[in-house]
Amino acid sequence: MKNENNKDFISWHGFSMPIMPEWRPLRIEGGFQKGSMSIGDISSPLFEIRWMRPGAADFDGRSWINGNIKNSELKSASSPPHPNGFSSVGWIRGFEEKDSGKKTVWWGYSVDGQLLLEIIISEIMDNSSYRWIISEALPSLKVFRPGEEWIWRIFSSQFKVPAGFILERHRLNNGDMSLCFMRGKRERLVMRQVYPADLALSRRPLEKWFDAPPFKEKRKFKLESDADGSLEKNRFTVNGWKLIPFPLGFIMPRKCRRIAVVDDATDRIFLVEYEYSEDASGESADNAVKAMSGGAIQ
Amino acid sequence: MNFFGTKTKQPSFDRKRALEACPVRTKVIRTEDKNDKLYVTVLLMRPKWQQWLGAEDQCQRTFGLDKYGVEVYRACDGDISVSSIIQSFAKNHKLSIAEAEISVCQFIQTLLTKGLIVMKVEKS
Repeated sequence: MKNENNKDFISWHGFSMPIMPEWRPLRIEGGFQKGSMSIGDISSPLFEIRWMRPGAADFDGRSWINGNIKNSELKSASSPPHPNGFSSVGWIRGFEEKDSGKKTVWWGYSVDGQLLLEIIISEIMDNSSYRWIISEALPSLKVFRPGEEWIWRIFSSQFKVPAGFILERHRLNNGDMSLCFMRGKRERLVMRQVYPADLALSRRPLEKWFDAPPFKEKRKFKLESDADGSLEKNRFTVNGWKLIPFPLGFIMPRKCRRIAVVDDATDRIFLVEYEYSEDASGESADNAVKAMSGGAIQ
Repeated sequence: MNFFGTKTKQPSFDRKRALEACPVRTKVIRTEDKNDKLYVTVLLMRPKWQQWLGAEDQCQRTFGLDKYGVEVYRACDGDISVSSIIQSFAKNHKLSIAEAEISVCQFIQTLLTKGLIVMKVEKS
């Protein structure tokens, strides 16, 4: 039974789209400029989202979409779903490529988000799911502007990232979701959710979770002072430096703030590591932890 | 049955049917609660090759389950389907259905191979 309120969201690289709770990302490829994500259920892939950032300021989304429709040798179907924030949309239905079955292809370009989306929906899935995508998911598509903070949602985890941070690496394990963002060359933000918290804490204490980073890196963490950081109830904070190993530690040193919080409401550990230049503040780390609190599916 | 007397693999049923199946706990010899864990002892038949080498036909095996394992194991009463177990597990631990499905299915597979449960599947 498709219940309107019973839905999850997938938010990735600047777009957000509702999906049914039993659907999940099956494959994620690419990065900020160009990439794709395949979404399906237990039996098969259902649709694929492809994104592209044209880059050029004078990019004409309308003519790009029209060109695609023309190339497909199919006539544009009438009244394509037009989500808010998209300046140009178009779609074709019944598109068939080799022997892969009929597909609906929807294109949308957002000038504000500087994002071009192509969504390829299989028409051989069950009819109620197909209708749900067309009538619910596509019209609810949302695009984040480059100048605003972006929400990232994957499985049951949610992350809010300040403007300008670009996803560099990700590691999505069941019960351990990590995203690594970069802003420029000197700012790096690693956000991680580990759950269930009590199981994670039975394996290692809260302050030791930073000793097993999800991503390999050359820089080593060095405490700012001899103090071992502050370990309050359910929260561990420590400030320090991220340095290239000896004897090159003097090259572009980065300040670093690490925060680990046990959130009882969601039964998760939120871990944030923020590296920043000497003249900036580590406030983004605190904000990132606060934003994760709404992470689990309510 | 093939030339060597071993049974050939039957075509398995699809995932949808597997999720509708109801796991049932096998007969246990004893259970014990210790250090936040549940220790379940079951009687297992030894493999044929071990019996030929002179081992006893049956042996006891004890498995320790943590609180998440106990939650799934207790739900295996023969009336609750795998998909229902997944849904309640997702709700209890604030997980997405997809995440709970991966964890629960993997754990149920482990319970099956260890002989702690069997699956009740309706004939098609």
